[in-house]
Amino acid sequence: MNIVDFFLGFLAAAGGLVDISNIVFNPQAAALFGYSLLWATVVGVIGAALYAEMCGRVAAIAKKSVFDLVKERMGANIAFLTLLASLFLNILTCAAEAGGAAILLQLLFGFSYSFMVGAIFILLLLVTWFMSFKTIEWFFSIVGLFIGIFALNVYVIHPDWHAVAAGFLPIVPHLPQSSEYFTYSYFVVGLISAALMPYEVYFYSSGGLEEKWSEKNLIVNYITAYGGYILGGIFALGISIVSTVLFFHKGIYPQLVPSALLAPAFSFGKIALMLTMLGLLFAFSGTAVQTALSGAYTLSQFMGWRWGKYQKPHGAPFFSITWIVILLLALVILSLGLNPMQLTQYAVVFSVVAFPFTYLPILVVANDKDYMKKYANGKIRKTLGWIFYGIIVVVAITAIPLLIITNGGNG
Amino acid sequence: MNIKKLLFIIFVIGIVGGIISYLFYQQKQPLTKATLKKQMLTVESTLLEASLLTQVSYDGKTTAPYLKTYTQELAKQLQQSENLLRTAHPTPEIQQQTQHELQLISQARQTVQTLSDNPHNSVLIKKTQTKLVRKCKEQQSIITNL
Repeated sequence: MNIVDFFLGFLAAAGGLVDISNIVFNPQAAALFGYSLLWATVVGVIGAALYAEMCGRVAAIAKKSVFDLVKERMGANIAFLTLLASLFLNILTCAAEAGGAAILLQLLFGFSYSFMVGAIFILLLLVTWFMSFKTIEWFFSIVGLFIGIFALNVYVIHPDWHAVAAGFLPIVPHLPQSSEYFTYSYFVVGLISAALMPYEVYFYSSGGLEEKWSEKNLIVNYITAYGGYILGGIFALGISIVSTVLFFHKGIYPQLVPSALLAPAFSFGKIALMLTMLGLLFAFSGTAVQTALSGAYTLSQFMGWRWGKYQKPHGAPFFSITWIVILLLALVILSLGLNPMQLTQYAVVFSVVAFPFTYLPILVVANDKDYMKKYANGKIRKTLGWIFYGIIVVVAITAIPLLIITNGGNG
Repeated sequence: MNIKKLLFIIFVIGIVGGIISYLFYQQKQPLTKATLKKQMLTVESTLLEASLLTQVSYDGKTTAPYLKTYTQELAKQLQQSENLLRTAHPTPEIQQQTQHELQLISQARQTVQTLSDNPHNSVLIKKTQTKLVRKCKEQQSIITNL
């Protein structure tokens, strides 16, 4: 891998981390609790980077995708349930991301939403059919990097830096009503889950296998996972910080995609607004493609079909049919008039159901010296892995009760 | 209990929780003082957001398609609140306030909708902003007196 490939891979990971879930959860959490939830994004990003690096390493050394590990370690029955859950969530997430992309096209060009939903699906189908794995990853993620404007915005909007720094400490603020503690917990869970969506590890590990990773790619994997995810995390934190300045203590609870875009417009004007919209459009579209492919990877790996974007579509027909069907089902969901913001909320919160089954096999195999030889997790990564697995289990148990109790964060 | 069983139980809790949430999440509640106040705060948030948008737009920092789409969405939010209150059954003590609130939402929605139909008109943007600031104050005073 040359330096250009390496640099693009790193940027792709950064651009790929931010998706519609950051536009739903980060501004709303900031509007209600200011900077006090910044730490939750940090926890989510570190957990996501840690497990992405592990699954990349397992793909490179043990030559196994995450779903192979689920099947092998959890047994066929649980693998089947995990498959059903992840397919359902992939369709839901794909619909949410594509719907968000359609809203961004509408914000850019002003045509009707229904027209833009149709347009985005034709574009996604064509791009996924004709582009290679690498081109898809780079094409969407590199342009998606315009969302870095949110991070630049932080310096212009002059936040209270002491309060920002305090927000990185996991300290629950004093809240006037006891019910608000549930809402606070709901957003903690939402922000952590948004970073840990399972499709990311399915896609990342299958991508590693597609690119025939070996031990030579371990440094690239390490820097892509940690560097890329941390840069993506900085963008997500940027959204939270500028949203706090704009909405917190002002009685505004943003519930729309364009709400998050007010901050770049407010600070920089039209050009920055359009570039940010373009960045988000590519980030959302890229995630829609990733979720469709991720569903096709998992189903093909479970069924033992030929799979991969490196094959021509007719070389892996069931794989190709699966991602096309996922895109079409997402189109059907959007045609029913469901709101992409609400879909995102459900997709993120319900995805936690698949967390424990997805992340445990990665950790167990990455710890296993028989499989991984000298590349198995050392003491520090093993300990961190179990700490984050504990967090994942707590999030999995509490997410849905909190969704119900807090009425989806609306109190 | 082994780890597989434990994880399976978490999985089942998740699925059952999901179904319960889907079935009961948005069930209608009778309109009480507390729910009316919550609805008023939602409307206030929408009005404040619309007011901020018009301020940024008047400064020439947004594009016409952005303003048009955003105001359309805000008008939809107001329409949802209006529909919710119109079909609700308020308790006798809050019937008058509910009617007053309905009037306020309807006027604000029309104001926002008018801007959505003419996003290029900077005079209209300014007028809309002034009207929205007035509506926000009116809404805050209704909330205080509830």
